Amino acid sequence: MSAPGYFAAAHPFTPIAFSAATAGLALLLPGDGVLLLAVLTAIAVTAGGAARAIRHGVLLVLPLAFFLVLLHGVLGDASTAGVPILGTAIDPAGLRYAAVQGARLLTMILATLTAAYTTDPARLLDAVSGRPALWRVVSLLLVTRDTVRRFRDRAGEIVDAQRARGLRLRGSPWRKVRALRPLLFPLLLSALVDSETRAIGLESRGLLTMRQRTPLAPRLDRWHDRLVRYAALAAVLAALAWRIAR
Amino acid sequence: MTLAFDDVSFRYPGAAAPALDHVSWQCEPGSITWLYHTPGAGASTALLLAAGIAPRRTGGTFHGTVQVPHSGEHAGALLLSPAATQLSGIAATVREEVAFTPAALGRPRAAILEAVDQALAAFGIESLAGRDPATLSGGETQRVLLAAAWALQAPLLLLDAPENALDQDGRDRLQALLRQEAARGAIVLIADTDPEVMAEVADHLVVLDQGRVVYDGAPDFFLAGDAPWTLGIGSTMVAELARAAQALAPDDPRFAAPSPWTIDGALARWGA
Repeated sequence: MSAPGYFAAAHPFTPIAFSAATAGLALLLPGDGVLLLAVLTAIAVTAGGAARAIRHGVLLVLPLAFFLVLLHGVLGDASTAGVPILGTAIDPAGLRYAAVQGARLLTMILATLTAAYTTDPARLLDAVSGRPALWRVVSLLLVTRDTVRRFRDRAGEIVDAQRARGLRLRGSPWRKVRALRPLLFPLLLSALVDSETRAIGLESRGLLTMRQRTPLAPRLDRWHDRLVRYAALAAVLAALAWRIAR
Repeated sequence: MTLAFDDVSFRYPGAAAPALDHVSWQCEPGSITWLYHTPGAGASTALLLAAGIAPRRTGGTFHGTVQVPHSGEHAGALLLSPAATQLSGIAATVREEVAFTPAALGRPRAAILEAVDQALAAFGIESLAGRDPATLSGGETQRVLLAAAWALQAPLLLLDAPENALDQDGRDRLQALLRQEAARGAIVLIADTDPEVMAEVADHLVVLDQGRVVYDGAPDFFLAGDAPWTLGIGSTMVAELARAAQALAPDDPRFAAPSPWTIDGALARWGA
């Protein structure tokens, strides 16, 4: 089993700070800066042990990049300033604009995926134990994620139950539309009941208490973790100041 | 300090009839009180009232007094039915799930870890400690949430159908731990409809029917009589056997009332 990369091993605030700062810089920096930022982000993400974020990020951005190139590089002002290539006119300025916007999107997606892939929810919860208000925000996000999972499981159970009672889901579109009613009604009803009982269940477990929680596995906040976070904050502040002063 | 229900009435919002209708009873420290009930009699509601969740969370109209032994948040450990509704959904492992409430209350870390280890061992689920709670079976989930209630080491233990989905080993462990909790001076209040498990451990019985108390006293008098059958909730299998024997041979003195209702009682009566 390979060792976790830097981001996965770091204090949970570090990949989140990296992600937020990188997304902020992608919005604030000018064209050339964004292209450089995209390259640096890709290097940092790979070195930090989240290379799969690059694969998934590129796959996500590719369709968008295609349309950016099509709209700005080919269909833009190519008729007046275009360079003829393979029977069509390419607009270099439009192409550059498409590259910058694509890099902006790619950087933000890479940053978000890196935080998502390297942040362990349990460690993040432990890390915010000392901050009741923040703990509530993080825990409610995780409860929402769990609720979606429960809802999906419940939907599967209802589909199985209704099929066992003779409901046919295959066939004409009209048949499929008609099949929705016996599926949606019990699903919505059970969701309403479940949300009520879940609220009581979570209340009984102390989810909503405003006391300072005890972290079960306190995480060391190492000096280099703090350095990365302060550097991320400083970079965003500097970019913001430059943007305002310009 | 006792747990006392004094002339308590409670009606859920929009409900036609009250869930509890002028009920009173008292639970003493060191005792196990069993709420035996007909369906919809208000036993779960009584637990929510004792835990302070109703009417605060549920809404509804409340009259009377529920005196709890200790004030403050989570003075009592509560197990709901079905227990799975109490899974936090955010604990990554069973160990974290069991530690969830003590950690939420800010208990010292060393005390939490010790209590969690003891609770996992008590319910025989040490091997599940690293598992994701979302992947557990019904019986495993029941044990995990019972362990979570135990790990709180509260002076008040409120359990709704604790034997649900448990196998025989789980039931034996539950009975042993209920006795242990009572022995350390905790107040134990259990809503349950399984006389086979509860009759052996309860020393105080409160029977609820349609929101009213129809019996408050020692379990043996109620379980050996006709009332469980009149109410339609039944008694133990031994009591049912004795009742059948009595019907077959009404003049046989061996089957005369009061009937035995435990295996030990049957052996004492008919063993010779």
